[in-house]
Amino acid sequence: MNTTVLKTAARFLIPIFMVLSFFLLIRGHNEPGGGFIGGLVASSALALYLIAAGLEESQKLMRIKPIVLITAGLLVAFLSTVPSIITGLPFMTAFWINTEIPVAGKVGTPLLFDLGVYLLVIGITTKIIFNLAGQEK
Amino acid sequence: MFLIILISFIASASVPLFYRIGPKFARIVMPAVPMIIFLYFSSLYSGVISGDNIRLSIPWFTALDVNFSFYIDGLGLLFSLLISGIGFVVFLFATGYMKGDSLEPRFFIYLYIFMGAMIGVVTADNLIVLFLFWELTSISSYLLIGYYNHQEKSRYAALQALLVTGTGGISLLAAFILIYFATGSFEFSYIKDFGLLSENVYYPYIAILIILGAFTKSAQFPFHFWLPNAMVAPGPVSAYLHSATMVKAGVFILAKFNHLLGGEPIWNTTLLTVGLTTAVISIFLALKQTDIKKLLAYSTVSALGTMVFLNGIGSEKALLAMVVYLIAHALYKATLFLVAGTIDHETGTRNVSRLYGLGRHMPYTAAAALIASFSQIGIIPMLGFTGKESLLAAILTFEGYTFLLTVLVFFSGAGMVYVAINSGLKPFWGKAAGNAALQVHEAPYTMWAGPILLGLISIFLGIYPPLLNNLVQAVYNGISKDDFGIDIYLWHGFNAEFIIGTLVILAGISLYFFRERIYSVSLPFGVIKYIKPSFYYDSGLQGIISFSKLQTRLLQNGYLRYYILLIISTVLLLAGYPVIQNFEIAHINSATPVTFVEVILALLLSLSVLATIRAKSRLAAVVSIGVVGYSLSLLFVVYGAPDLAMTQFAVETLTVVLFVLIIYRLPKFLPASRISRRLRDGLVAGMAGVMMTAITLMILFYERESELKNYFLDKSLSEGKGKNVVNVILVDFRALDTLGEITVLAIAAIGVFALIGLKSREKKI
Repeated sequence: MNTTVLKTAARFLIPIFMVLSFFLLIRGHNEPGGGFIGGLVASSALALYLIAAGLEESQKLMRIKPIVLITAGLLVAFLSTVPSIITGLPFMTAFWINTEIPVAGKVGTPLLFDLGVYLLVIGITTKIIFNLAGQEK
Repeated sequence: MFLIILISFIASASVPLFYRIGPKFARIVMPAVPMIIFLYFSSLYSGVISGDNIRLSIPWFTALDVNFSFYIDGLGLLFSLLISGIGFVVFLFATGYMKGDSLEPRFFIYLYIFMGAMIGVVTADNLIVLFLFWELTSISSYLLIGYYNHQEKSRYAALQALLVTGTGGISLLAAFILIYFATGSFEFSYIKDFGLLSENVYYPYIAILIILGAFTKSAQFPFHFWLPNAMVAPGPVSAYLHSATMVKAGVFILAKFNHLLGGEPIWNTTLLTVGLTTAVISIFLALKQTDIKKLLAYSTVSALGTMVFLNGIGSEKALLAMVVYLIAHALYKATLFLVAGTIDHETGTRNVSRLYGLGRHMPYTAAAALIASFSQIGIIPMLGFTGKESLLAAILTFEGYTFLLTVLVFFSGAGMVYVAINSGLKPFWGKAAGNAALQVHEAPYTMWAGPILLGLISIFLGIYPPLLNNLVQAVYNGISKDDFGIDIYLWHGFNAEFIIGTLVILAGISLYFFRERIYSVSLPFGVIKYIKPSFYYDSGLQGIISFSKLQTRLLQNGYLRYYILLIISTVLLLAGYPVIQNFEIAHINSATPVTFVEVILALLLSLSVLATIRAKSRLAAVVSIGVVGYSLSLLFVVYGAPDLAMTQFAVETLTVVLFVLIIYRLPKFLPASRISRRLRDGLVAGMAGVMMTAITLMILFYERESELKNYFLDKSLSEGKGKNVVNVILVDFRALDTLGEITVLAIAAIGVFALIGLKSREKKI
């Protein structure tokens, strides 16, 4: 399915999808969105690119290996629990810092946790898709 | 103290390190660890005998009353000393015995785990902790019995021991939980003073379950069969686990719970009859054995039976006899097993009828064997003599069936003498003849020093009882309600006990001289097969295996479509009934207005479902089921659930992509399946659809109070600092769940990777 139209379209769509997915991630706490949905949106973008440009191109585009994303995601999620462990509060108690960042508003450990989910979802989905695509050869 | 319990496990983990430094260094360190533990427990001696019991607790799961708590009373101290003291001898012996074995470090790793677990069992105060260590002894026993894992016999015996003792372990856990129900605590030191467990409704169950746990561990009839089979293990293992310590854990448990559960016929009568049966039957079985280790194994079972029935008698004299007998037995039987190990090691045979004249070549081993067999025979001034005297004293003062008991004990005692002569004396007697014997030379000192030491201790304790007396008193105060008023003496004079004891020895000697006659008596083995408990073990195990094979064939046949069919049918069966019961059409409010958009969406949904069913190719089916998904997410949009809609949208897209990626790999699509199958699938699918509709309607129209819903809506902004309730639940309120889920996802991804990777590698080959 190496069509030029799809390939070109995908090339333009991917940045938009990525921005959208990240936007969904950080606003998730107050408006519809969140790490899971954001991750899925990002993965669909990559899936689209895979169909348009093939496996090697999309692996090149990703730069990072999916398995690294999975581990990083899991690590970030666990990292978000560290403050609660250090302070001795009940496990996974949320910590917030008030910032005036637009869209996100406050920043805190739940957001970090969500980021972990986001990375993990992208990692897993692309891992499965790439693996299946790689099998065809 | 916590460190002392932990030290074996630390040592176990560092065994490879010691061997990396050098095997010679490692062999010096190995016996040092049990020595340290022994010295530590010795230092507690004076405190414990004066009634200063030691307790230590580290909180673990406080909400469940499960804590790392340990408690050392007389009984615990006695066992700890036995475990570490005999442990020292066994470790020392093993450095010689296992020397040069290719897996030598592994052996010590297992043995350390066992020692740590055993110390844990006898010092644990919390019953759950006790259970954990108890299971760990079973597991390490499994590993040690199966040490020569290239032999099928070893693997079979190891599994058998694990399954039998494991069953006992589970019943012990059940008993502990019932005790918790009865007393509200898992801490033994608390339960101990709770008193009168026999009034409790759970009492009979607790008693039976504890007995079951103890009997399997201590190889009581009809669970005795695993112990002789376990003799395939290396020599030191048989000495340590299967005669001196682990098999006595059952006796330990019975003694520990004696004053809580004792005094009722269900406890005392069971222990008395089963113990006596075991003592007699196993010595009977021992008579025909020619394998030196099996001979010892059956006599061990008999001795354990003796301890159990003494516990069952439960009188002051009987409990005293049990403790003395236990110490004496641990000392001499460990030695005899070690000697058997040496003989096996040096001559390569364990057949007693081929062994003679070794004494000239192995003088030290012979000396150790001599002391130990004299103790088992019960010759003054060995501790074994004291043990036998107190055993007979307990029997003679027992009221009811005294004569029968005396006869049976007489028989088993004579058998013990026979075993002692046959295994400990005969191999060393006479002149060495034949070529095999000429090659034999003395084992290294590590292998005879320990056994001789144990023998000397046995003599010392026999001649100088005060040391023992204090300890036995402390033990007795822990396991009985009454005060202790008997002193242990070596010499009681020419009384009935002494006369019977001498007769027992004479009977044993004559049994020995008639041994050829005994060997030649052929038992009707055809009938015996059905009396043998191991027959039921084997057929039971076979039955379980066939059943699980059948079940796997039935449920996991490898066809994805049957899995799905099975899952949906199960849900229908389980959830369908309550749905039918609770569904009332009157509740459904049909007056809800239907909008135009809803009608359109419903039509779209139904059409795409139809298209899926009628699809002529797989791609068409995938695409139309994708349309179903998209229509659903539109429905979510209409009803104001943007989160759900977006998720559904993304998931649908990815699903279609995935399908497209694998579609070429699937076998050809065959739409024309048989009518009967289509009918069956249609029926199941239709029913599932109807059920889901009914459930949805019930959720919508049945008013249910939900505190959680209100709580989350209330607290989302104030506590979770977010307006998107769904997200706040996911990343804050229920974040732990999410953390678990993403961990599982990551593992699943690795699984997928492994599966697909494996598949493509297979292709290449």
